[in-house]
Amino acid sequence: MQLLKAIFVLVASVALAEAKALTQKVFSPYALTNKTLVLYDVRIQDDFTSQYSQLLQAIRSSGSDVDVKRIEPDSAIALFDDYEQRLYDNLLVMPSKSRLLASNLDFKSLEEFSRKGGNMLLLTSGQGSQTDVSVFLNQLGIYPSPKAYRLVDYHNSNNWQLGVDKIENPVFLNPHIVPEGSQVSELAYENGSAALLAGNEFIIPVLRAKETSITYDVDRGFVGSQSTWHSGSDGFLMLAHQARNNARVFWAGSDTFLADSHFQKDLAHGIWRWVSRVNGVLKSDRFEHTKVDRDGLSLAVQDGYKVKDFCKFETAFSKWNGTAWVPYETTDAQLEFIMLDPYYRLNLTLDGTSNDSALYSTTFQIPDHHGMFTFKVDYSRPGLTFLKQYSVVPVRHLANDEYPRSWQITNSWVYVASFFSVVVAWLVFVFLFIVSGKKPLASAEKKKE
Amino acid sequence: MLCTVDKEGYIRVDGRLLAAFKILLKTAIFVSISFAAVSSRLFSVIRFESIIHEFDPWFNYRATKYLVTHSFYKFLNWFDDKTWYPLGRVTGGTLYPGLMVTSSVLYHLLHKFGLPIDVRNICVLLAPAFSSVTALATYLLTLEISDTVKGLRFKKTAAFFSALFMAIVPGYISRSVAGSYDNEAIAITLLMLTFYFWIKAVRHGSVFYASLTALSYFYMVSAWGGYVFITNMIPLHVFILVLMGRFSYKLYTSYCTWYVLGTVMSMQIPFVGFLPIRSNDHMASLGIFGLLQLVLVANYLKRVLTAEKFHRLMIASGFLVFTLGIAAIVVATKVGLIAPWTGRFYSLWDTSYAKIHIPIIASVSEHQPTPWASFFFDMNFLVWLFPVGVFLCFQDLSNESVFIIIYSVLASYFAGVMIRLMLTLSPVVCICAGLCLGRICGIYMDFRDEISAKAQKSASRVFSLVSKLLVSASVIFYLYYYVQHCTWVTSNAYSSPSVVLASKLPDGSNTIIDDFREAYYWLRMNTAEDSKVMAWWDYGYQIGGMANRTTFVDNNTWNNTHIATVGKAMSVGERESEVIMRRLGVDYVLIIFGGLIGYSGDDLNKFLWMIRIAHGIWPDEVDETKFFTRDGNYRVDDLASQTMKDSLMYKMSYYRLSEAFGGSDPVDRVRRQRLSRPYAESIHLDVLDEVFTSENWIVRIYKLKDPDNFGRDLVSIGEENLAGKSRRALRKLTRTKPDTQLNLL
Repeated sequence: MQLLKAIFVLVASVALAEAKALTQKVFSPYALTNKTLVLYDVRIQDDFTSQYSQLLQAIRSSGSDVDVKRIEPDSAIALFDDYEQRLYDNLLVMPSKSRLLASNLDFKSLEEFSRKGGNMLLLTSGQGSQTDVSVFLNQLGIYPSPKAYRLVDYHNSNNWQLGVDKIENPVFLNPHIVPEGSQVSELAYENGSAALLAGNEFIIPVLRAKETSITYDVDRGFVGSQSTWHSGSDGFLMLAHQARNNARVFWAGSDTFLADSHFQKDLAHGIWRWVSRVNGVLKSDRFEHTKVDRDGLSLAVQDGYKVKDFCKFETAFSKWNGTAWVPYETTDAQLEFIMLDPYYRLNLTLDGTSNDSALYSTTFQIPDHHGMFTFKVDYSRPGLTFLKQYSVVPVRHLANDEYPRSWQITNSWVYVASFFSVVVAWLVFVFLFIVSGKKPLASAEKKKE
Repeated sequence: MLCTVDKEGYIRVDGRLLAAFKILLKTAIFVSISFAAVSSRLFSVIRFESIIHEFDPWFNYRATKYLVTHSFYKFLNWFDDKTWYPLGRVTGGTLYPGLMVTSSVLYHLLHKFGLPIDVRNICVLLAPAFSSVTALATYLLTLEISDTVKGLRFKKTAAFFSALFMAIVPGYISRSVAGSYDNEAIAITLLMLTFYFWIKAVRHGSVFYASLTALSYFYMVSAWGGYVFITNMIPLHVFILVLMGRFSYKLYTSYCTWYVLGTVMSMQIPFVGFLPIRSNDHMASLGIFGLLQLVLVANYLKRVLTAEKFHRLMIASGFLVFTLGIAAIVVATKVGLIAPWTGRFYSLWDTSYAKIHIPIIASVSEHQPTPWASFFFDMNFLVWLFPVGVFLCFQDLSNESVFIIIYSVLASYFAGVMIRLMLTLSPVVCICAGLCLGRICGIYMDFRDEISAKAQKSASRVFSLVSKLLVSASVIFYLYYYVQHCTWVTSNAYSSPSVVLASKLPDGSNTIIDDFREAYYWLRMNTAEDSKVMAWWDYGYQIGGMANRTTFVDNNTWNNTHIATVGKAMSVGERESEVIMRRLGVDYVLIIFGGLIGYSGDDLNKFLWMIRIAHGIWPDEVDETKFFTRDGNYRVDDLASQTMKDSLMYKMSYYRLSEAFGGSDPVDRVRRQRLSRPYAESIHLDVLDEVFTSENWIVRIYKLKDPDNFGRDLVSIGEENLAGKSRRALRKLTRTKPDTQLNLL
């Protein structure tokens, strides 16, 4: 009873904390400028700020100022300052029919922005898929269906001629991007496009197209192998990408689910917080290894490893909860001990938690092989910041005085004994030779005489 | 009075004065010989600077620095984490420490005396210093031999001649010029010293000299892998003497003392360890040790038994011992108790063995068979005095001259097989030539008969005077010519540090090509301290020594697979190579390219060895024939095979070469082939960035690009960028369905 009560309190407090986090002003630990640039095309959204006020509100609530600009091919938009530093943390690009995003922006600028750590929420739709945005997405391995294609689903849509306008009971594939709690029964997805994937390990599927859906070229007017873009579940409606430097990109094939008319707060907040690196952010402040004895106690003298030493490895993981670092607990973190190939791949066990981090450790014996070994922790999970840490240590061979001495090896006793017996025998022989050698010689000489 | 004039008018000089004068004269001769030996080796220091030469000396230098700054035990247990990344090298246990210990002892000694000389200068000048000791040891050895040669009138003349020859013979100078800080620099000295003590021990049957032999043998073992030569020479000498019926207690005493002490001492060197009782190379000395005991027993039995009984016993036991011995060796080798013969050993008997089976040995130029011309080049007129000297030894056949005969036969054979073994031939050639010239001098330079008052008939007197003058004049001319030749060879062929190259400008003025040091210095100053540089193994020691950066393979070619991995990374295409390089942890790639300036020792000329070595491990992935054109030519121009054009080494060599020729077709001056400009411009690199190219393009350094931030394939990015598509094309591209087969990648 007591236990149940305690659990209840715990659950309630967690729920409360999460609710609090939603309303409280959260921010990203990686925010540099606290600014978000929103680009929209006036030809598609004539009154963007009022149509998407809730989205803008969501952006503001995650600690970022919003800078809304129109997409105009003739005017310049500065993404970087004179020193090539980012001016914005995040970039949101609405579907656009425009030839250019701005006179000075092309897909290379988007790449550069991401390379410098900027995050992007890129929306395309059947109405508008801007070339630079598409090229950039193509570079990531995301191939959204172009303008003329229409997403249809003959089995689940009432109005199959006009295509899909909503997805019922969507199954979101990544809990870090769309939290479990924010499942929706119906997702507005008007004028949608679907994307194909080309192998890129950094892509995180978020929403798969229904098995019964296809995209086909409306201009060709018929459905055939030549005119379809995707068919069935090889298409995706929402995709995320986290680059090596942890910069995030989120793509959706429609913008309607973010509009005020269909706004679903949890979903939109979840996605934006993931994109702007408020959610799903991990860090590790600790990466230590120490020489220990057989029982795991740290040794006073830390003078580098030799073969068959014992080693304790420690690391700590923290997670950003929106306002502060909290311990991140997991059971699937591993340490690799590598020289060309992993000699060990060990599970890290949770040792305990501090205020802001969970401490993991493992103790193991270094293999009987000298060389340059790498301690490596590669905790890369889709939707979470990549944690990649490594350090190289030399593991030396045994020194000349570190082998067991001969008398400690029972096998050698017979040899040691024979050695000493030869020495003794030799000494005895020499002694006898000296003492007894002369007499017969003298007597022989005497006899001769 | 020290000096008086007697009644007959002769000057009588006191014996003590004469002795003092003799000593003074001998000292003067030695000082001059030493001076000649040292000064002729200083060309490189004067021409260039006090710098460590070539490849291996750089490692020895680095190890010496380590020894000087750390304790001896630290050095002995040194685990080098800057080479053979990520394997590391147990350096302390895989080197011959004699050289480093010698210079570090000298270093500390000089510092004790208040002479703060830099380690580098000690290392640079160690070889010349030891060469004068070699001359002295050769003198002593020849003196021992000439004592037993009956026909010689002036024993010391022969010895002095051989010392002089040894001091400046180019075959020895080639390995001992200032800066050539290699094991051979002190090993030849020790070789001579060991042989001297051995001859002395055999002559006197002295335990003392045999122990000295063992001691200097130990020093030799600690200094050079070539100690195996002694390990087999001495037993062979003893064996032949026994066969000649020269068995004596003197021989027995000296051999057993040497063998037991020498073997036990040599096993103290970590690199040698248990080799003396496990390796086939050492079995001969063990066998002779056993044989001597049997001979001793036989000698005893001979005294005890009747002749007939003894004869029968000898035949029976001889047969038994022979079969048992052979069987034991075969069984022990098969079981694995004795290490089988190494490839290096086989290549001594069959010169084409290495080429077929162990490309890594054959790839070293100094392991090639010797061309005939280099015998003259390295020995000059000693080449034809040498057989005469051997003939003199045959005439006499004392125990000592038998040794010289064996030495000359073995060394001649080995010098013919491997060019580097010219080094071991040089001393015996000098000794034999000294004996020969000593004989000639004894006969033809002795004018006492001619000028003495008691002369014979005047006609024959003139005749013999003329013939003597003629012979002496020609000998003196040859000697003069020898000195000339040695000086010329030393100055022109053996005094180049190979780290710094000398060259002539079109107008005839001299210029120094210093690309290597420029590049290594760049690496040292511009890369992270823990960055790892991949280069072909020839440059491993230099990168470690001069740039102080971690290398993957180096001149200590202990791990063939690792070398083959680097060879494979160089010879396959970019995509495949990237995988290998990332696995190894490569940061930079360094190559040598001589095509622009015409430096023929570059990597493209060594490329076939990289391919062959890689082929040895991965026969399916690297195929040598594919690097040749269809008609079997090694081409690097437009007509090169596609595999060649795709290989990383090729691309790194010719990347941006067209820019150096400003508009005209680039020409490879080493391979004398012309690349067309459009083709040369199309050579591009996707996974590497060029970060440094030295003044004459000899050294080019590339950096492995970081993996793409967005997870794309670096090669395909390169291909896309190259296309340089227009916006229109881009738009079209976004509207074409991708090939989803890519998903399978």
